Amino acid sequence: MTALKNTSASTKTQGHVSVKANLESMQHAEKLAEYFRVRGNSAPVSVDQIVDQMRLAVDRIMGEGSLYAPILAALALKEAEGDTVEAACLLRAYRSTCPRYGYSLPISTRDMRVVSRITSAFKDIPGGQYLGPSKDYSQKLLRFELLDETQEKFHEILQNCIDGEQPPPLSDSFPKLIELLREKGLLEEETGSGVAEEPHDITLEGLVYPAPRSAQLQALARGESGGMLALAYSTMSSSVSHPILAEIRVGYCPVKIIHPYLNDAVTVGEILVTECDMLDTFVRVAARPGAPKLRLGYGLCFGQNELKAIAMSVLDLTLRSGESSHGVSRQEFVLRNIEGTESAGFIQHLKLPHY
Amino acid sequence: MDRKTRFEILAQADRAVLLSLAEQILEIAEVEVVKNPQTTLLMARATDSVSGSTFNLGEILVTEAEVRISSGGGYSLIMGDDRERAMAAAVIDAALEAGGQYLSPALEEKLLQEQKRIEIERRLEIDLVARSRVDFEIVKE
Repeated sequence: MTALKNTSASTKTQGHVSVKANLESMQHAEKLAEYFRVRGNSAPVSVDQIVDQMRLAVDRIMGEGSLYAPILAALALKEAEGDTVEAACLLRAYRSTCPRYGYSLPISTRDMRVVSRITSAFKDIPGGQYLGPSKDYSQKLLRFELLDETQEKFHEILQNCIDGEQPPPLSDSFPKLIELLREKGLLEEETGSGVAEEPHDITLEGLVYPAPRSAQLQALARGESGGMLALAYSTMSSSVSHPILAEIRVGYCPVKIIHPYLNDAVTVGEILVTECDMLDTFVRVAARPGAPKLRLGYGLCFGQNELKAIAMSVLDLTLRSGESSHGVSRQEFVLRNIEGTESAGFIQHLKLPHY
Repeated sequence: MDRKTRFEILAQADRAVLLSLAEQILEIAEVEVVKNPQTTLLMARATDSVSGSTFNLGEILVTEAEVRISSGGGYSLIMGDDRERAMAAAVIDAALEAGGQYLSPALEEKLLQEQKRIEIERRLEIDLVARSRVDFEIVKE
């Protein structure tokens, strides 16, 4: 739909002519796409299998589609034949047909049931560090044994993980490291903070620049991971310095609503999220009065998606840097270009006739 | 079991358990549907680490249902797109709210079992994560 809209816009501005084509061709193209999907005659992939075994793709699609719905995200991935950008677009189109319930109470990442928690800035932190489900320390080798897996093998893997000695239990809640830094007065305080104003909702009002911080965070949280990665990397790839990751955590957060009969907070379930607190080390100390302070950048997204949460926190830092030399410090530049559904729609429309 | 705990168990209980419990209630109870089960969007809010203020993180697909059994209002809101499950949860909630003949020790017992099962599953994962604890040591040159 985006593509069609864009075509009509460019038709007006650039003087392209309108075209029409026969419906049969388009219908056959759709049929042909289905033919290519199934022509290999392999067993159909079930949505359950995708939810379980394409876990990170499902998480990515939920984040970019801005809809926490694992089964539908898996369905979208199946329908899009593995194209995550298209899958996120399908999820966004679906959500636009649903009525709204309203808002949850703010989730608390302190109450997170932690799956992993890492800091790269401190050797010892209260609560400790947990690598969690990670391949960061594994060799990048193709595991050919996965070519031939069985259900029995799955059971073996599960049992193998469960067996063994149990270390001291995990804490129920982990303090956020930046809170300790803030207590010590090491963090730069955001001006105008603490004001309890209603957050902007870009699904209702759209983005108008300059966008308030709440809208910026929402836009980043549903940004396209690849686009965010590229923009975040561009701020560092030609520089010797880089920000320092204070803390990244992945885990399940309880989602609470107000129960209509009880008029009290109740938990509906849990959502998996990734959160990143990033510290800016290239702070221009001289330009700021008083003791040198660290500037904080924030990243939060659905699912386990460390790359995106880190990229988001880096972009949050550059967006607040006030430096005009780099495009990545301009809000409109960043938020426009990380918007996956719109950017993909525009690039795709170049395939449509422009006579 | 207080109503808050009950809501939370019903929201996260196993689908098959909910459906079977609701079926038993439907055999003896007259259920009035107050709100047809509807799949809807719950916007999850979060708190910005930088400013401490709230922002909209993204939506969660949920299904909501509301029913009545005699004087008892039953309400459910579950994650995901599943009208049957939401309806079953609301029916169980209403039966327990109505009390009297609809109450059975077996019903409450089954819900407590579900609570325990959810807790055990989570505990297992928490324990598995605990094994990935890492201590980085500085290597002296």
